[in-house]
Amino acid sequence: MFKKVLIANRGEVACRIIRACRQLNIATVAVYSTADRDALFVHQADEAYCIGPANAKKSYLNREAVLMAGIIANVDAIHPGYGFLSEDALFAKMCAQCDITWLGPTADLIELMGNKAAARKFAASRGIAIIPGTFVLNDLDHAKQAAKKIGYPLLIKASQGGGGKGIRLVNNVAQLQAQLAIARQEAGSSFANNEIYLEKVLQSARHIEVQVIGDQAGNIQVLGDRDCTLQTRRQKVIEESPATFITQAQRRELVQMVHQLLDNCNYQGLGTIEFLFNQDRFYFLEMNTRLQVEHGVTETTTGLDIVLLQLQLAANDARLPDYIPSNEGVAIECRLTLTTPTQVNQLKMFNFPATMRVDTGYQAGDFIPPFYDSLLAKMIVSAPTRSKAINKMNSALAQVRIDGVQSNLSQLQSIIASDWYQSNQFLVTTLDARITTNESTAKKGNLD
Amino acid sequence: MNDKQIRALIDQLAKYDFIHAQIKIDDFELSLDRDQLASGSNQTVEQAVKTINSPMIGVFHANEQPMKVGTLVTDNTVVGQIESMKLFNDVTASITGKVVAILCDDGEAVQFDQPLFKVAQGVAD
Repeated sequence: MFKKVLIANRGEVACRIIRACRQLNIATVAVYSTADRDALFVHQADEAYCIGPANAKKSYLNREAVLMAGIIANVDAIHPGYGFLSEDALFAKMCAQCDITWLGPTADLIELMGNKAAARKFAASRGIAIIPGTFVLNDLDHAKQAAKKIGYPLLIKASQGGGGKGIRLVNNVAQLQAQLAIARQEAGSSFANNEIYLEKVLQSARHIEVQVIGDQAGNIQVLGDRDCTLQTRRQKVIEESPATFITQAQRRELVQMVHQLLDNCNYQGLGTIEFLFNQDRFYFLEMNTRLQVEHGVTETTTGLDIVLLQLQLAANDARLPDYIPSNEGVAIECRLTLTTPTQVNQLKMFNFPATMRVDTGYQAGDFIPPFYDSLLAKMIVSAPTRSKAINKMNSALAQVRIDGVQSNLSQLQSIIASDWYQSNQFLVTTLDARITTNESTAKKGNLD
Repeated sequence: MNDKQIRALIDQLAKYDFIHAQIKIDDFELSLDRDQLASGSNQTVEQAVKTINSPMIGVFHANEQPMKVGTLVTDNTVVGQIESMKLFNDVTASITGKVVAILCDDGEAVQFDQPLFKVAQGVAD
Protein backbone atom coordinates (compact mmCIF):
# COMPACT_ATOMS: atom_id res chain seq x y z
CA MET A 1 0.00 0.00 0.00
CA PHE A 2 1.06 3.60 -0.52
CA LYS A 3 2.78 5.29 2.40
CA LYS A 4 2.07 8.88 1.49
CA VAL A 5 -0.37 10.44 -0.98
CA LEU A 6 -0.51 14.04 -2.18
CA ILE A 7 -3.95 15.47 -2.85
CA ALA A 8 -3.76 17.90 -5.77
CA ASN A 9 -7.05 19.59 -4.94
CA ARG A 10 -8.87 21.64 -2.34
CA GLY A 11 -12.15 21.86 -0.43
CA GLU A 12 -14.55 19.01 0.11
CA VAL A 13 -12.92 16.57 -2.29
CA ALA A 14 -9.54 17.02 -0.61
CA CYS A 15 -11.22 16.27 2.75
CA ARG A 16 -12.93 13.26 1.16
CA ILE A 17 -9.65 11.79 -0.11
CA ILE A 18 -7.87 12.48 3.19
CA ARG A 19 -10.63 10.47 4.93
CA ALA A 20 -10.08 7.44 2.68
CA CYS A 21 -6.29 7.66 3.14
CA ARG A 22 -6.66 7.75 6.91
CA GLN A 23 -8.63 4.51 6.85
CA LEU A 24 -5.76 2.87 5.00
CA ASN A 25 -3.11 4.44 7.26
CA ILE A 26 -1.72 6.46 4.37
CA ALA A 27 -0.09 9.77 5.32
CA THR A 28 -1.59 12.75 3.47
CA VAL A 29 -0.05 15.84 1.93
CA ALA A 30 -2.18 18.86 1.08
CA VAL A 31 -1.15 21.59 -1.34
CA TYR A 32 -2.87 24.95 -1.07
CA SER A 33 -3.00 28.50 -2.36
CA THR A 34 -2.59 31.55 -0.13
CA ALA A 35 -6.40 31.94 -0.23
CA ASP A 36 -6.80 28.54 1.47
CA ARG A 37 -4.26 28.95 4.28
CA ASP A 38 -6.90 28.38 6.95
CA ALA A 39 -8.99 25.84 5.05
CA LEU A 40 -10.22 22.65 6.69
CA PHE A 41 -8.36 20.32 4.31
CA VAL A 42 -5.05 22.05 5.08
CA HIS A 43 -5.56 21.37 8.79
CA GLN A 44 -6.71 17.80 8.21
CA ALA A 45 -3.70 16.72 6.15
CA ASP A 46 -0.59 15.38 7.85
CA GLU A 47 1.59 17.81 5.89
CA ALA A 48 0.70 20.89 3.87
CA TYR A 49 2.57 23.03 1.38
CA CYS A 50 1.66 26.45 0.06
CA ILE A 51 2.20 26.23 -3.71
CA GLY A 52 1.05 29.58 -5.03
CA PRO A 53 -1.23 32.60 -4.90
CA ALA A 54 -5.04 32.59 -4.96
CA ASN A 55 -5.18 32.50 -8.76
CA ALA A 56 -5.68 28.81 -9.56
CA LYS A 57 -3.54 29.05 -12.69
CA LYS A 58 -0.57 29.81 -10.47
CA SER A 59 -1.41 27.32 -7.72
CA TYR A 60 -3.83 24.41 -8.17
CA LEU A 61 -3.25 24.33 -11.94
CA ASN A 62 0.50 24.85 -11.63
CA ARG A 63 1.85 21.39 -12.53
CA GLU A 64 5.45 22.13 -11.54
CA ALA A 65 4.45 23.53 -8.15
CA VAL A 66 2.20 20.57 -7.31
CA LEU A 67 4.85 18.07 -8.39
CA MET A 68 7.59 19.91 -6.53
CA ALA A 69 5.52 19.60 -3.35
CA GLY A 70 5.21 15.87 -4.07
CA ILE A 71 8.97 15.57 -4.51
CA ILE A 72 9.77 17.56 -1.37
CA ALA A 73 7.27 15.55 0.68
CA ASN A 74 8.47 12.30 -0.97
CA VAL A 75 5.01 10.94 -1.81
CA ASP A 76 4.26 7.64 -3.59
CA ALA A 77 1.11 8.79 -5.35
CA ILE A 78 -0.93 11.83 -6.35
CA HIS A 79 -4.74 11.93 -6.23
CA PRO A 80 -6.07 14.71 -8.45
CA GLY A 81 -9.69 14.73 -7.22
CA TYR A 82 -12.02 16.40 -9.77
CA GLY A 83 -11.51 19.60 -11.74
CA PHE A 84 -8.08 21.33 -11.74
CA LEU A 85 -5.44 18.84 -13.03
CA SER A 86 -7.65 15.73 -12.82
CA GLU A 87 -7.98 15.39 -16.61
CA ASP A 88 -4.62 16.82 -17.56
CA ALA A 89 -2.76 14.21 -19.61
CA LEU A 90 0.51 16.13 -19.44
CA PHE A 91 0.38 16.21 -15.66
CA ALA A 92 -0.29 12.46 -15.55
CA LYS A 93 2.81 11.96 -17.72
CA MET A 94 4.90 14.26 -15.55
CA CYS A 95 3.93 12.26 -12.43
CA ALA A 96 5.09 9.06 -14.11
CA GLN A 97 8.38 10.71 -15.07
CA CYS A 98 8.92 11.61 -11.42
CA ASP A 99 8.15 8.02 -10.34
CA ILE A 100 4.97 9.08 -8.59
CA THR A 101 1.87 6.95 -9.13
CA TRP A 102 -0.91 8.88 -10.83
CA LEU A 103 -4.25 7.80 -9.37
CA GLY A 104 -6.14 7.67 -12.62
CA PRO A 105 -6.01 6.15 -16.09
CA THR A 106 -3.05 6.48 -18.43
CA ALA A 107 -2.29 9.79 -20.12
CA ASP A 108 -3.36 8.37 -23.52
CA LEU A 109 -6.86 7.57 -22.28
CA ILE A 110 -7.19 10.92 -20.50
CA GLU A 111 -6.24 12.63 -23.74
CA LEU A 112 -8.61 10.53 -25.83
CA MET A 113 -11.63 11.11 -23.59
CA GLY A 114 -10.67 14.72 -22.88
CA ASN A 115 -11.02 15.55 -26.54
CA LYS A 116 -14.79 15.26 -26.78
CA ALA A 117 -14.83 15.01 -30.60
CA ALA A 118 -12.20 12.24 -30.50
CA ALA A 119 -14.15 10.45 -27.74
CA ARG A 120 -17.30 10.53 -29.93
CA LYS A 121 -15.35 9.02 -32.78
CA PHE A 122 -13.90 6.35 -30.50
CA ALA A 123 -17.33 5.45 -29.06
CA ALA A 124 -18.80 5.24 -32.56
CA SER A 125 -15.92 3.00 -33.65
CA ARG A 126 -16.86 0.63 -30.83
CA GLY A 127 -20.45 0.50 -31.95
CA ILE A 128 -21.90 2.81 -29.31
CA ALA A 129 -24.71 5.14 -30.34
CA ILE A 130 -23.55 8.74 -30.27
CA ILE A 131 -25.72 11.86 -30.38
CA PRO A 132 -26.34 12.77 -34.04
CA GLY A 133 -23.77 15.36 -35.05
CA THR A 134 -20.36 15.81 -36.61
CA PHE A 135 -16.74 15.17 -35.77
CA VAL A 136 -14.33 18.12 -35.93
CA LEU A 137 -15.59 20.78 -38.36
CA ASN A 138 -13.35 22.06 -41.11
CA ASP A 139 -15.13 25.23 -42.20
CA LEU A 140 -18.45 27.04 -42.39
CA ASP A 141 -19.62 25.23 -45.54
CA HIS A 142 -18.95 21.89 -43.90
CA ALA A 143 -20.90 23.06 -40.84
CA LYS A 144 -23.85 24.33 -42.91
CA GLN A 145 -24.11 21.12 -44.90
CA ALA A 146 -23.93 18.95 -41.81
CA ALA A 147 -26.44 21.13 -39.96
CA LYS A 148 -28.92 20.80 -42.80
CA LYS A 149 -28.65 17.03 -42.61
CA ILE A 150 -28.91 16.79 -38.80
CA GLY A 151 -31.53 19.49 -38.29
CA TYR A 152 -31.81 22.37 -35.82
CA PRO A 153 -31.60 23.21 -32.95
CA LEU A 154 -27.92 22.34 -32.63
CA LEU A 155 -25.14 22.75 -30.16
CA ILE A 156 -21.72 24.00 -31.17
CA LYS A 157 -19.31 22.31 -28.79
CA ALA A 158 -15.61 22.83 -28.13
CA SER A 159 -13.62 19.60 -28.49
CA GLN A 160 -11.67 20.34 -25.34
CA GLY A 161 -14.77 21.52 -23.46
CA GLY A 162 -16.89 19.05 -21.55
CA GLY A 163 -18.57 19.26 -18.18
CA GLY A 164 -21.05 21.72 -19.67
CA LYS A 165 -18.43 24.23 -20.74
CA GLY A 166 -17.76 25.65 -24.21
CA ILE A 167 -21.28 25.09 -25.58
CA ARG A 168 -23.39 27.39 -27.80
CA LEU A 169 -26.97 26.81 -28.91
CA VAL A 170 -28.03 27.68 -32.48
CA ASN A 171 -31.56 27.49 -33.85
CA ASN A 172 -31.05 28.25 -37.54
CA VAL A 173 -28.50 28.74 -40.27
CA ALA A 174 -28.16 32.48 -39.61
CA GLN A 175 -27.27 31.84 -35.97
CA LEU A 176 -24.91 29.06 -36.99
CA GLN A 177 -23.13 31.44 -39.33
CA ALA A 178 -22.93 34.13 -36.65
CA GLN A 179 -21.86 31.87 -33.78
CA LEU A 180 -19.40 29.56 -35.47
CA ALA A 181 -16.46 31.95 -35.61
CA ILE A 182 -17.13 33.19 -32.06
CA ALA A 183 -17.34 29.62 -30.77
CA ARG A 184 -14.07 28.74 -32.47
CA GLN A 185 -12.33 31.78 -31.06
CA GLU A 186 -13.74 31.16 -27.60
CA ALA A 187 -12.62 27.53 -27.71
CA GLY A 188 -9.15 28.67 -28.71
CA SER A 189 -8.83 31.10 -25.84
CA SER A 190 -10.55 28.98 -23.16
CA PHE A 191 -9.18 25.55 -23.99
CA ALA A 192 -6.08 26.35 -26.09
CA ASN A 193 -7.65 24.32 -28.91
CA ASN A 194 -10.09 25.81 -31.44
CA GLU A 195 -11.58 22.51 -32.63
CA ILE A 196 -15.36 22.51 -32.57
CA TYR A 197 -18.12 20.10 -33.59
CA LEU A 198 -21.90 19.99 -33.83
CA GLU A 199 -24.35 17.95 -31.84
CA LYS A 200 -28.12 17.77 -32.20
CA VAL A 201 -30.20 18.99 -29.28
CA LEU A 202 -32.10 16.03 -27.89
CA GLN A 203 -35.32 17.71 -26.80
CA SER A 204 -36.61 15.28 -24.23
CA ALA A 205 -33.43 13.83 -22.79
CA ARG A 206 -32.47 12.67 -19.34
CA HIS A 207 -28.87 12.50 -18.17
CA ILE A 208 -27.86 9.01 -17.05
CA GLU A 209 -24.33 8.05 -16.12
CA VAL A 210 -22.49 4.90 -15.17
CA GLN A 211 -19.76 4.63 -12.54
CA VAL A 212 -16.90 2.31 -13.43
CA ILE A 213 -13.62 1.33 -11.87
CA GLY A 214 -10.66 -0.43 -13.48
CA ASP A 215 -7.89 -2.43 -11.83
CA GLN A 216 -4.19 -2.30 -12.74
CA ALA A 217 -4.70 -5.06 -15.31
CA GLY A 218 -7.32 -2.95 -17.07
CA ASN A 219 -10.35 -5.05 -16.13
CA ILE A 220 -13.35 -2.90 -15.45
CA GLN A 221 -16.39 -3.27 -13.24
CA VAL A 222 -19.58 -1.23 -13.29
CA LEU A 223 -20.47 0.14 -9.85
CA GLY A 224 -23.97 1.38 -10.64
CA ASP A 225 -25.75 4.19 -12.42
CA ARG A 226 -26.92 7.68 -11.54
CA ASP A 227 -29.59 10.05 -12.77
CA CYS A 228 -28.18 13.58 -13.04
CA THR A 229 -30.92 15.09 -15.14
CA LEU A 230 -31.59 18.07 -12.89
CA GLN A 231 -29.24 20.76 -14.09
CA THR A 232 -29.16 24.48 -14.37
CA ARG A 233 -26.97 26.09 -17.01
CA ARG A 234 -25.54 22.61 -17.65
CA GLN A 235 -24.39 22.25 -14.04
CA LYS A 236 -25.81 19.42 -11.97
CA VAL A 237 -28.03 20.36 -9.03
CA ILE A 238 -29.61 17.13 -7.75
CA GLU A 239 -28.38 13.60 -8.44
CA GLU A 240 -29.86 10.22 -7.67
CA SER A 241 -28.59 6.66 -7.57
CA PRO A 242 -29.74 4.48 -9.16
CA ALA A 243 -31.63 6.00 -12.09
CA THR A 244 -35.00 4.76 -10.91
CA PHE A 245 -37.04 5.22 -14.06
CA ILE A 246 -35.05 2.90 -16.34
CA THR A 247 -35.99 -0.76 -16.58
CA GLN A 248 -33.74 -3.67 -15.64
CA ALA A 249 -33.42 -4.49 -19.35
CA GLN A 250 -32.29 -0.94 -20.06
CA ARG A 251 -29.83 -1.18 -17.18
CA ARG A 252 -28.36 -4.35 -18.68
CA GLU A 253 -28.07 -2.54 -22.01
CA LEU A 254 -26.15 0.29 -20.27
CA VAL A 255 -23.72 -2.12 -18.64
CA GLN A 256 -23.17 -3.87 -21.94
CA MET A 257 -22.48 -0.53 -23.68
CA VAL A 258 -19.93 0.43 -21.02
CA HIS A 259 -18.06 -2.84 -21.47
CA GLN A 260 -18.20 -2.44 -25.24
CA LEU A 261 -16.60 0.99 -24.80
CA LEU A 262 -13.91 0.19 -22.25
CA ASP A 263 -13.03 -3.53 -22.38
CA ASN A 264 -9.45 -4.13 -23.53
CA CYS A 265 -8.60 -0.43 -23.25
CA ASN A 266 -6.43 -0.91 -20.17
CA TYR A 267 -8.63 1.50 -18.25
CA GLN A 268 -7.41 2.01 -14.67
CA GLY A 269 -9.02 3.88 -11.82
CA LEU A 270 -12.37 5.60 -11.54
CA GLY A 271 -14.41 6.83 -14.47
CA THR A 272 -17.90 7.92 -15.40
CA ILE A 273 -19.55 7.40 -18.76
CA GLU A 274 -22.31 9.91 -19.38
CA PHE A 275 -25.27 9.21 -21.63
CA LEU A 276 -28.33 11.09 -22.73
CA PHE A 277 -31.46 8.94 -22.59
CA ASN A 278 -33.88 10.07 -25.25
CA GLN A 279 -36.97 8.24 -26.51
CA ASP A 280 -35.89 4.97 -24.93
CA ARG A 281 -32.40 5.07 -26.36
CA PHE A 282 -29.02 5.78 -24.76
CA TYR A 283 -26.57 8.07 -26.55
CA PHE A 284 -22.94 8.45 -25.50
CA LEU A 285 -22.33 12.01 -24.29
CA GLU A 286 -18.83 12.00 -22.81
CA MET A 287 -16.58 10.19 -20.41
CA ASN A 288 -14.90 11.70 -17.35
CA THR A 289 -11.67 9.91 -16.50
CA ARG A 290 -11.66 10.74 -12.80
CA LEU A 291 -13.54 10.73 -9.50
CA GLN A 292 -16.81 12.61 -9.93
CA VAL A 293 -18.50 15.12 -7.62
CA GLU A 294 -21.61 12.95 -7.21
CA HIS A 295 -19.81 9.67 -6.39
CA GLY A 296 -21.34 9.79 -2.89
CA VAL A 297 -24.79 8.65 -4.04
CA THR A 298 -23.24 5.53 -5.56
CA GLU A 299 -21.36 4.88 -2.33
CA THR A 300 -24.51 5.29 -0.28
CA THR A 301 -26.47 2.73 -2.27
CA THR A 302 -23.66 0.23 -2.86
CA GLY A 303 -22.08 0.43 0.57
CA LEU A 304 -18.70 0.80 -1.14
CA ASP A 305 -16.11 3.45 -0.40
CA ILE A 306 -15.03 3.98 -3.97
CA VAL A 307 -12.10 6.28 -3.17
CA LEU A 308 -10.77 3.62 -0.80
CA LEU A 309 -11.29 0.94 -3.45
CA GLN A 310 -9.50 3.13 -6.00
CA LEU A 311 -6.46 3.44 -3.70
CA GLN A 312 -6.45 -0.29 -2.98
CA LEU A 313 -6.73 -1.26 -6.65
CA ALA A 314 -4.00 1.18 -7.66
CA ALA A 315 -1.70 -0.38 -5.05
CA ASN A 316 -2.70 -3.91 -6.18
CA ASP A 317 -4.01 -4.47 -2.68
CA ALA A 318 -7.54 -5.51 -3.54
CA ARG A 319 -9.48 -7.33 -6.21
CA LEU A 320 -12.14 -5.89 -8.45
CA PRO A 321 -15.65 -6.85 -7.22
CA ASP A 322 -16.82 -9.94 -9.14
CA TYR A 323 -20.30 -8.59 -9.70
CA ILE A 324 -22.06 -5.25 -9.87
CA PRO A 325 -22.70 -4.24 -6.25
CA SER A 326 -26.44 -4.39 -5.72
CA ASN A 327 -28.14 -1.08 -5.46
CA GLU A 328 -29.91 -1.06 -2.16
CA GLY A 329 -32.46 1.67 -1.90
CA VAL A 330 -32.27 5.09 -3.46
CA ALA A 331 -29.88 7.90 -2.64
CA ILE A 332 -30.43 11.57 -3.44
CA GLU A 333 -27.80 14.27 -3.38
CA CYS A 334 -28.46 18.01 -3.30
CA ARG A 335 -25.62 20.37 -4.08
CA LEU A 336 -25.63 23.34 -1.74
CA THR A 337 -23.96 26.20 -3.56
CA LEU A 338 -23.10 29.85 -3.05
CA THR A 339 -25.44 31.88 -5.24
CA THR A 340 -24.67 35.59 -5.15
CA PRO A 341 -21.26 36.17 -3.61
CA THR A 342 -21.10 39.36 -1.58
CA GLN A 343 -18.04 41.31 -0.49
CA VAL A 344 -17.40 39.03 2.49
CA ASN A 345 -18.79 35.51 2.55
CA GLN A 346 -18.43 34.15 6.04
CA LEU A 347 -20.35 31.09 7.15
CA LYS A 348 -21.79 32.29 10.44
CA MET A 349 -23.91 29.20 10.85
CA PHE A 350 -23.43 25.88 9.05
CA ASN A 351 -25.38 22.99 10.59
CA PHE A 352 -26.83 19.84 9.09
CA PRO A 353 -29.10 17.17 10.59
CA ALA A 354 -27.58 13.76 11.37
CA THR A 355 -29.90 12.10 8.84
CA MET A 356 -27.71 13.41 6.00
CA ARG A 357 -24.28 12.43 4.81
CA VAL A 358 -22.59 15.80 4.33
CA ASP A 359 -19.40 16.19 2.31
CA THR A 360 -18.00 19.67 2.74
CA GLY A 361 -14.70 21.49 2.92
CA TYR A 362 -16.04 24.21 5.19
CA GLN A 363 -17.10 24.72 8.78
CA ALA A 364 -18.88 27.50 10.66
CA GLY A 365 -16.74 30.62 10.83
CA ASP A 366 -14.97 29.95 7.51
CA PHE A 367 -14.66 32.60 4.84
CA ILE A 368 -15.52 31.28 1.37
CA PRO A 369 -12.74 32.31 -1.00
CA PRO A 370 -14.21 33.91 -4.13
CA PHE A 371 -11.65 32.36 -6.48
CA TYR A 372 -12.90 28.80 -6.83
CA ASP A 373 -16.11 26.80 -7.37
CA SER A 374 -19.31 27.68 -5.57
CA LEU A 375 -19.93 24.30 -3.92
CA LEU A 376 -20.57 24.64 -0.19
CA ALA A 377 -21.66 21.10 0.64
CA LYS A 378 -23.09 17.91 -0.84
CA MET A 379 -26.04 16.67 1.16
CA ILE A 380 -26.97 13.01 0.72
CA VAL A 381 -29.84 10.94 2.10
CA SER A 382 -30.95 7.41 1.28
CA ALA A 383 -34.04 5.30 1.90
CA PRO A 384 -35.55 2.03 0.62
CA THR A 385 -37.60 3.79 -2.07
CA ARG A 386 -37.38 7.01 -4.07
CA SER A 387 -40.44 8.53 -2.44
CA LYS A 388 -39.15 7.72 1.03
CA ALA A 389 -35.79 9.24 0.13
CA ILE A 390 -37.58 12.38 -1.09
CA ASN A 391 -39.50 12.65 2.18
CA LYS A 392 -36.31 12.20 4.13
CA MET A 393 -34.53 14.89 2.06
CA ASN A 394 -37.51 17.20 2.48
CA SER A 395 -37.42 17.07 6.26
CA ALA A 396 -33.62 17.08 6.40
CA LEU A 397 -33.39 20.23 4.25
CA ALA A 398 -35.77 21.96 6.65
CA GLN A 399 -33.24 21.37 9.42
CA VAL A 400 -30.24 22.76 7.55
CA ARG A 401 -29.04 25.97 9.18
CA ILE A 402 -26.89 28.23 7.09
CA ASP A 403 -26.23 31.90 7.68
CA GLY A 404 -23.82 34.57 6.48
CA VAL A 405 -23.86 33.62 2.78
CA GLN A 406 -26.46 33.51 0.02
CA SER A 407 -27.16 29.90 -0.94
CA ASN A 408 -29.54 27.91 -3.13
CA LEU A 409 -31.09 26.13 -0.13
CA SER A 410 -34.61 27.46 -0.73
CA GLN A 411 -34.39 26.54 -4.41
CA LEU A 412 -33.43 22.97 -3.47
CA GLN A 413 -36.30 22.82 -0.98
CA SER A 414 -38.85 23.90 -3.56
CA ILE A 415 -37.58 21.39 -6.14
CA ILE A 416 -37.71 18.49 -3.66
CA ALA A 417 -41.22 19.53 -2.61
CA SER A 418 -42.54 19.91 -6.16
CA ASP A 419 -44.96 17.54 -7.88
CA TRP A 420 -42.93 17.40 -11.08
CA TYR A 421 -39.83 16.27 -9.18
CA GLN A 422 -41.65 13.80 -6.98
CA SER A 423 -43.42 12.23 -9.95
CA ASN A 424 -40.04 11.81 -11.70
CA GLN A 425 -41.32 13.81 -14.70
CA PHE A 426 -38.48 16.05 -15.76
CA LEU A 427 -35.84 16.50 -18.45
CA VAL A 428 -32.40 18.08 -18.68
CA THR A 429 -34.08 21.31 -19.81
CA THR A 430 -36.76 21.42 -17.09
CA LEU A 431 -34.97 23.38 -14.42
CA ASP A 432 -33.70 26.10 -16.76
CA ALA A 433 -37.15 26.41 -18.35
CA ARG A 434 -38.81 26.73 -14.95
CA ILE A 435 -36.30 29.34 -13.77
CA THR A 436 -36.86 31.42 -16.91
CA THR A 437 -40.63 31.21 -16.48
CA ASN A 438 -40.41 32.17 -12.81
CA GLU A 439 -38.16 35.10 -13.60
CA SER A 440 -40.46 36.46 -16.26
CA THR A 441 -43.48 36.06 -13.97
CA ALA A 442 -41.58 37.82 -11.23
CA LYS A 443 -40.69 40.66 -13.59
CA LYS A 444 -44.28 41.01 -14.70
CA GLY A 445 -45.30 41.08 -11.08
CA ASN A 446 -42.95 43.95 -10.46
CA LEU A 447 -44.29 45.92 -13.40
CA ASP A 448 -47.86 45.45 -12.27
CA MET B 1 16.28 75.68 1.53
CA ASN B 2 13.03 76.88 2.92
CA ASP B 3 11.26 75.67 6.06
CA LYS B 4 9.13 73.23 4.13
CA GLN B 5 12.10 71.58 2.47
CA ILE B 6 13.96 71.27 5.73
CA ARG B 7 10.97 69.69 7.36
CA ALA B 8 10.61 67.23 4.46
CA LEU B 9 14.29 66.37 4.77
CA ILE B 10 13.95 65.68 8.48
CA ASP B 11 10.91 63.55 7.81
CA GLN B 12 12.93 61.50 5.34
CA LEU B 13 15.81 61.17 7.76
CA ALA B 14 13.51 59.96 10.51
CA LYS B 15 13.15 56.69 8.66
CA TYR B 16 16.85 55.90 8.97
CA ASP B 17 18.56 54.44 11.93
CA PHE B 18 21.44 56.84 12.67
CA ILE B 19 23.12 58.53 15.59
CA HIS B 20 24.96 61.27 13.79
CA ALA B 21 24.26 62.77 10.35
CA GLN B 22 25.86 65.61 8.50
CA ILE B 23 24.24 66.85 5.33
CA LYS B 24 25.66 69.47 2.99
CA ILE B 25 23.75 70.73 -0.04
CA ASP B 26 25.39 73.76 -1.69
CA ASP B 27 25.43 76.44 1.00
CA PHE B 28 23.07 74.57 3.22
CA GLU B 29 24.54 72.55 6.02
CA LEU B 30 22.71 70.45 8.56
CA SER B 31 24.09 68.43 11.39
CA LEU B 32 21.91 66.17 13.46
CA ASP B 33 22.68 64.17 16.55
CA ARG B 34 20.49 61.56 18.06
CA ASP B 35 20.79 59.88 21.38
CA GLN B 36 21.11 56.18 20.61
CA LEU B 37 18.68 55.15 23.33
CA ALA B 38 16.10 57.74 22.49
CA SER B 39 16.62 57.43 18.74
CA GLY B 40 13.81 56.27 16.45
CA SER B 41 11.26 54.54 18.65
CA ASN B 42 11.31 50.77 18.16
CA GLN B 43 8.04 50.91 16.31
CA THR B 44 9.35 52.92 13.38
CA VAL B 45 12.31 50.55 12.99
CA GLU B 46 9.95 47.57 13.09
CA GLN B 47 7.75 49.02 10.36
CA ALA B 48 10.66 49.49 8.02
CA VAL B 49 11.70 45.83 8.20
CA LYS B 50 10.28 43.80 5.35
CA THR B 51 10.80 40.22 4.18
CA ILE B 52 11.92 38.81 0.87
CA ASN B 53 9.58 35.89 0.23
CA SER B 54 9.99 32.83 -1.96
CA PRO B 55 8.26 33.29 -5.33
CA MET B 56 7.59 29.53 -5.58
CA ILE B 57 7.75 26.20 -3.82
CA GLY B 58 11.15 24.54 -4.22
CA VAL B 59 14.60 24.11 -2.77
CA PHE B 60 16.50 27.23 -1.74
CA HIS B 61 20.09 27.57 -2.91
CA ALA B 62 22.29 30.31 -1.46
CA ASN B 63 24.63 32.35 -3.68
CA GLU B 64 28.30 31.45 -3.93
CA GLN B 65 28.82 34.41 -1.67
CA PRO B 66 25.87 33.79 0.66
CA MET B 67 23.86 36.68 1.97
CA LYS B 68 24.84 37.73 5.47
CA VAL B 69 23.35 39.97 8.07
CA GLY B 70 24.49 43.41 7.01
CA THR B 71 24.60 42.69 3.26
CA LEU B 72 23.14 45.59 1.28
CA VAL B 73 20.58 44.76 -1.39
CA THR B 74 18.81 46.75 -4.10
CA ASP B 75 15.75 45.88 -6.19
CA ASN B 76 17.68 43.70 -8.64
CA THR B 77 20.08 41.97 -6.27
CA VAL B 78 19.90 38.20 -6.68
CA VAL B 79 19.58 36.91 -3.14
CA GLY B 80 19.57 33.20 -4.00
CA GLN B 81 17.90 30.65 -6.24
CA ILE B 82 14.91 28.37 -5.94
CA GLU B 83 15.18 25.02 -7.65
CA SER B 84 11.87 23.69 -8.90
CA MET B 85 11.65 20.65 -11.17
CA LYS B 86 15.40 20.91 -11.87
CA LEU B 87 15.10 24.53 -13.00
CA PHE B 88 16.99 27.18 -11.07
CA ASN B 89 15.10 30.43 -10.66
CA ASP B 90 16.77 33.60 -9.43
CA VAL B 91 15.17 35.31 -6.48
CA THR B 92 15.60 39.07 -6.61
CA ALA B 93 15.35 41.29 -3.57
CA SER B 94 12.69 43.67 -5.02
CA ILE B 95 13.53 45.94 -2.12
CA THR B 96 16.41 48.26 -1.21
CA GLY B 97 17.93 47.92 2.20
CA LYS B 98 20.15 46.00 4.57
CA VAL B 99 19.72 42.32 5.42
CA VAL B 100 18.97 42.01 9.14
CA ALA B 101 18.13 38.30 9.35
CA ILE B 102 18.60 35.10 7.32
CA LEU B 103 15.52 32.91 7.61
CA CYS B 104 16.44 29.88 5.48
CA ASP B 105 19.38 27.58 4.99
CA ASP B 106 21.09 26.50 1.80
CA GLY B 107 19.33 23.38 0.46
CA GLU B 108 16.19 23.91 2.53
CA ALA B 109 12.76 23.24 0.99
CA VAL B 110 10.68 26.39 0.96
CA GLN B 111 7.02 27.03 0.21
CA PHE B 112 5.44 29.72 -1.90
CA ASP B 113 5.50 33.07 -0.08
CA GLN B 114 7.77 31.77 2.70
CA PRO B 115 10.00 34.57 4.12
CA LEU B 116 13.66 34.01 3.20
CA PHE B 117 15.34 37.20 4.48
CA LYS B 118 14.49 40.15 6.67
CA VAL B 119 15.56 43.48 5.23
CA ALA B 120 15.62 46.89 6.91
CA GLN B 121 14.25 48.99 4.14
CA GLY B 122 16.10 52.02 2.82
CA VAL B 123 19.53 51.55 4.41
CA ALA B 124 21.51 51.26 1.20
CA ASP B 125 24.59 52.78 -0.42
